[in-house]
Amino acid sequence: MRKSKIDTAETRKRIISTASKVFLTKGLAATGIADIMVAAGLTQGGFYRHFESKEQLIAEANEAAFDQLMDMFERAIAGKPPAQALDTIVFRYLHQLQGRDPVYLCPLANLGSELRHADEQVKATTKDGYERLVRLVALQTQRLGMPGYADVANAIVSTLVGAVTLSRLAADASTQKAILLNAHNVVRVLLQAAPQTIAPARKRLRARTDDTDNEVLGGSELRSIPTD
Amino acid sequence: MAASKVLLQHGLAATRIADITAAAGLTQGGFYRHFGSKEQLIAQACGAASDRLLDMLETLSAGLEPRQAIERIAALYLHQRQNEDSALLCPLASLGSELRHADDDIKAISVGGYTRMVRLVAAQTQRLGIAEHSEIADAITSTLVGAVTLSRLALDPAMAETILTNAQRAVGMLLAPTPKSDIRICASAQAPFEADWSIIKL
Repeated sequence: MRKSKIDTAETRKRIISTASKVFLTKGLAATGIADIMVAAGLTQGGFYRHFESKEQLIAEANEAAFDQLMDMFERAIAGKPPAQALDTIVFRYLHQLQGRDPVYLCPLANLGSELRHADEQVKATTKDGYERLVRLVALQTQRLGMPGYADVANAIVSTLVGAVTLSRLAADASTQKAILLNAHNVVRVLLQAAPQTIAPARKRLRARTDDTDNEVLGGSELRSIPTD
Repeated sequence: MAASKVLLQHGLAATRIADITAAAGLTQGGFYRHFGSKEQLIAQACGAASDRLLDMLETLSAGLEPRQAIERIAALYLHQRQNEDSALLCPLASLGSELRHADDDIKAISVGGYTRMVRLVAAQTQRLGIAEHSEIADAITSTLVGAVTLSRLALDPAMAETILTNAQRAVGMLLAPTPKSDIRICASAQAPFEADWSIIKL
């Protein structure tokens, strides 16, 4: 490739990665092309040399966001047994906002309702990303030997997306934490309640009957939503 | 009523005051006699929408056995779109990610709707004798809101139906007649991998 072509490709990449962060944190409607170009350190006029429309950029930014997220999950669970891999996925998904960099935010939980109003191209990338997330979880529920592994994975993803969406509306940090923690624990209950042919998870999550254990393990008990 | 229908279907950003006044048969000038701003209208419309939905869920689950009541609430919530009258859409699932960027009044009203939904479910999980009744209710609410949000992003009706059916099934599984101690299992499950942040914090 000639130097100018390499430069163009790199600039394009930079716009996409900047766009994906800005969209995920500020929303689609509130983010203008100018905001993204400024954040990427470029002039607004250059935008149309790279993209036909804002919608095209949203679609590519969406795809890039899902790629990042999936790569992160795959690195994090590599070599782990299924129960542990699932727990890692669930924990990291639920705590995506605690990463310092918005690079691992999921479009489904951060742009959910806005994506519905986007164009077909954007909707197709959203569907694709959603299916990748379900497959990622389903691969682990399958390894756990669950007959209805795809259905369980599907429900787990709904819980995760709902919890992160709601936690972002929460007024205070403790409500936020409670929503995420309860979602995590319910996923664990769900994994136990789901019909299983073999159940290696049961060994790990065996019942502890005495309450001192709960005390010791702190942090993982279900937490009440503070009311009022 | 007209405003909340337009808002819930088209989203906050895409809805202009003119769309709402047209739907309500008002003039633009008439609008400002009633509301100070678009935000004020959104706040009231969200409040009204979530009250209508929750009143309906409360009425239709009244008098049922607790398990039945929860399953009924879940089914009605999950299939809110199939209601002839789109006036029964939940702002949390219809406007979810947009509400975050809205002003404080709108957020407070959304959180109020969320709290009421959790309490409605928690009243039933408590009757079921589940120790962590409000925590389970909280997680059920997350599952329902997530499923409806995702089903609305689905490109085809079959995919939407799969998402809703699985959410309903998951709620059923959570309430399955397991001994109380089984619910406690999750309460003492291993702590999440909190230390394992090597990749996230680059």
